[in-house]
Amino acid sequence: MLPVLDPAAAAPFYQQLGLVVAGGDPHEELVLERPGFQLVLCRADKLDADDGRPRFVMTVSIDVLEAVWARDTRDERTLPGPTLSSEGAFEYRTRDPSGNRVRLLAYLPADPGGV
Amino acid sequence: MLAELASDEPLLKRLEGLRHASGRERDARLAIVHALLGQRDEADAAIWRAHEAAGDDRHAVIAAFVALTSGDAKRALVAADRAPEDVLARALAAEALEQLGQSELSDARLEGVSDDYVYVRVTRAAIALARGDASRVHQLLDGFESTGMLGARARRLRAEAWLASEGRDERRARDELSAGVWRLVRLGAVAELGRSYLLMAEIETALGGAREHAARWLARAHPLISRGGTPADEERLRRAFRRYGRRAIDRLVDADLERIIEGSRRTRTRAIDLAGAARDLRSRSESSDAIDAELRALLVSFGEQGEELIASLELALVDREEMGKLVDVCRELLVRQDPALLDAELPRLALGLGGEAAELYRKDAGRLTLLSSAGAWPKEGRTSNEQLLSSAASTEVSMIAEGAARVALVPIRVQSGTRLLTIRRAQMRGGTSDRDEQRLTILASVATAAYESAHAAAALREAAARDGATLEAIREGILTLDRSGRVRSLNTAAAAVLGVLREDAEGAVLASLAGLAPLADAISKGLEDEPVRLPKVDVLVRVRAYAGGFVATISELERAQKLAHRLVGQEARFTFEDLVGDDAAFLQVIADARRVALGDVPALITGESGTGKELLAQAIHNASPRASHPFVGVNVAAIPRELLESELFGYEAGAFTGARARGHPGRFELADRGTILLDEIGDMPLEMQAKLLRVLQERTVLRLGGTRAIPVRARLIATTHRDLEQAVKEGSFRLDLFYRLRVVHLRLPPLRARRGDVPVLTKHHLDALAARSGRTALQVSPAVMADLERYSWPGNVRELANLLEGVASLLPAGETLIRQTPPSVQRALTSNSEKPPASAAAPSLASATLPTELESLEVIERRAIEHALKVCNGNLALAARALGVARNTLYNKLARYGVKTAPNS
Repeated sequence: MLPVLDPAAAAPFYQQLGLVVAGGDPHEELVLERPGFQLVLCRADKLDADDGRPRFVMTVSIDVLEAVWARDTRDERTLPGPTLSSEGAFEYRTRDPSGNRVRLLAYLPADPGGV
Repeated sequence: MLAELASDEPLLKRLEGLRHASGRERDARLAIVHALLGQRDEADAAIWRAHEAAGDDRHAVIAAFVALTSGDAKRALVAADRAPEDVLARALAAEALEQLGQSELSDARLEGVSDDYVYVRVTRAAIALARGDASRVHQLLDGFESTGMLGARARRLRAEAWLASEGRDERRARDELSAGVWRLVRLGAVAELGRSYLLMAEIETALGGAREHAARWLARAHPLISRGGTPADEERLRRAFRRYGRRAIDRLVDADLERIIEGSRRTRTRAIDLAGAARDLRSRSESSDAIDAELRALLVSFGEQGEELIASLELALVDREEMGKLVDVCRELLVRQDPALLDAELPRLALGLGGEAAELYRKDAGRLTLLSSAGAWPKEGRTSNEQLLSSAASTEVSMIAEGAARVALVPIRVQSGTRLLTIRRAQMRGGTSDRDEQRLTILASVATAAYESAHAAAALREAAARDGATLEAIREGILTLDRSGRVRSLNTAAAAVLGVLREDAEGAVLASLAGLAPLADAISKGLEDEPVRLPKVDVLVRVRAYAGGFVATISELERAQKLAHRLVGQEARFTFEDLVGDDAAFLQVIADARRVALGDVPALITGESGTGKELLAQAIHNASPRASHPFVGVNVAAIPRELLESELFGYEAGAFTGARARGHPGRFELADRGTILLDEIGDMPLEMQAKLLRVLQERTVLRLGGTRAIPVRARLIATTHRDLEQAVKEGSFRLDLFYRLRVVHLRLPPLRARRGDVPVLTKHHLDALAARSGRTALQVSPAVMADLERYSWPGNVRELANLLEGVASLLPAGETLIRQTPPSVQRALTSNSEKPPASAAAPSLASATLPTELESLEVIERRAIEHALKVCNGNLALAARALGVARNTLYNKLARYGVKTAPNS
């Protein structure tokens, strides 16, 4: 369950990550899913100050990661891109429309043939 | 070409698009895309097709690019030189020359060419990096931005520069490479991605990350470089793999061989195609110069592939030879199985890996103690122990210099104390390599395992020796079998009982040994204390199963019974030789007894106390065929009546409160095939008489609480001082039992009825006393002997024996002649010469009320006992002596008559 200022406004960001709206009330509590994973966006009047750690972590494909990064760079061109972790995953940190820190991971393809 | 190199469109997508495209550019672009995908054959084919379409210079550039991407610098140079004025061709030629080690020519090719050409700039950076000039790379590429393959390559070159330069910055290197990898993944550029992963392994190591992370990057790089990398990439990968173990190297060598073989096959096919094409051209009288040139290049390739094959095989063989030596040394270590042997031989064995000298130390409390050495270690300039200690502080293999030589320090951590193995090598072939350290690390691990294994083996040997000695110390036979019935071990006692040789029996299936099948059968059934009949001997077997098989204790039945006899019954020590006397009536009893001994019928022995009833019973047993079997005596009068049944017949587990958990055999069972003596049977309670009668009739006993009839094989001898006929008349003894016991009735005469035997009995007992004490046999003066013969001996032979023992103990040292009649005898003779006193040693009983004819013997006996206790102030020992009976007999009589004794008794 992730508190957001406006579930309806936050939903497109999470839909971009591959989640599909499965039910709920867009103004209060919205349920998004993908196979084996469920996220509930719930309305909060105010978000607690974060401690620098991501509130939401999700594994996505390279395409999705690139799309998120591309969207972010539209607003801020000098934004650092995904970094490669020791485990062999691109890691990208961003924020959702409510300002929640989100950490996205995209693992390297086993057989890169052009994504 | 630049457009292809700068495009961010995924290569496979481009390829798909080009397959459906047409036009002059198609094959040229295809050649580049195939080359970037590592598809060399397809790239070559595309170049061949593009030959007609592309202009000469353009074709030359693309051919050079494809060749260079394939790692074929010579071919690239040949192609590039076909367009000497083209900037891209010059850049490609420069890079090819650099790879061929011709730096000056390389520089010449790029002389005067501006860095504004992005490809030239990147090529110059690559050349600078190859020369180790990282700052030049930064100078060329910092701030340089490009897209596609070109951008990715620039990122990688910058990352390498960050890793190599003086202002080394691993994190910036990783960030640069991350961006490059991101682009390459999107492109699907296999070979360049492989190079980047390889570099990522180096960055990971430089950042101090887990070794596994670096290994994982190598694992990612390996298939990509195998697919599209150049020989230089492969060599770099091989070097990286050397840090991560043998299996990786093996895979690499295998991949090498596979690639070389595949390359050779392709070259051959290509050569055949070219030869065919050349023939066609010649048949049409056209020039085949270009094809001939390529054929010559192919010939060169053949030669190079051959060299590469040999190099690869050498790598495999050299490595395997070294590994073979290591395996040999490790094998030698592991078979030692003795810590002392390892201490003595480890240096010599370690030299099998190379080196001129080796030493083994034990590290104790900051000191090194030399344990052993091998080879000749030069005395001059050698490293001190303190230096060795400080250098060997690490738990890993390390190397130190010792003059021109190098010393490997191999710590071996063993529980019993850390060892330090030092190996001196005067001249390492090619210096100390990672592989050397790996081999020594393996040696250290195996040596540690060998020591631990040797310690464990030593402990096992000690335990086995201790167990073996323990087994040998046990007089019982111990036999162990595995689950299949095969003899694992047996001690000497077991071999003796079974009549086999240990060496024949061990390892054999027990049932297959002559005559031992019944024993194998009994063991497999897990019998406990069961007799087993074997051809030569009957044995008693007790079996315990354990996870691996069975342990059986085996004893000769006869010996076991003798042992049981010693534990539960009296030992039958007396024989007929101990029954001394010349009296005719006595001799008649002995003669009858000798005949009885040979038979099997019950015998009843009666006689006054002290006449030797039990002694006669033992003599009968020892003269009988049952002599080797137990003699079990039971004093019926001494056992509380409520315990008598369980004592005689035994009981099963839980038969009554306090019963032993595993039950208990009765005396009849313990007597087995021997003799059971029921002493004082006249005192047996009536209800027990009925049970005893049933046992004698049915020849079986039933344990208390049991249901199984146990056969009685023992012979019964009963004794009593009572007049059983009288007891029968009084109703205190069953007539039917009396008849069954009295099959043979032996009546021992009192000593007073055989006074003539007193001298011979006296001599017999004095001789026996002398033999026991080791003193000279005592003599008795004729006067004393005459007194002894006159005495009435109410306590019979036992009284005589006791009296003589008392006299002998009071005789002054050195005196061997009894000159005075014992006072008790003297007083008795003096006080009543007609009617001798009833006691010899005690105060006079003359004042006792004399029995009248109307009084029964029991009444008289009871009165005599009470009087004796009074006179002796309640001292039972004195009273027994005064009455001439054993103390046990007195106790029995006290119990029977209900006579209360004084508290101080």
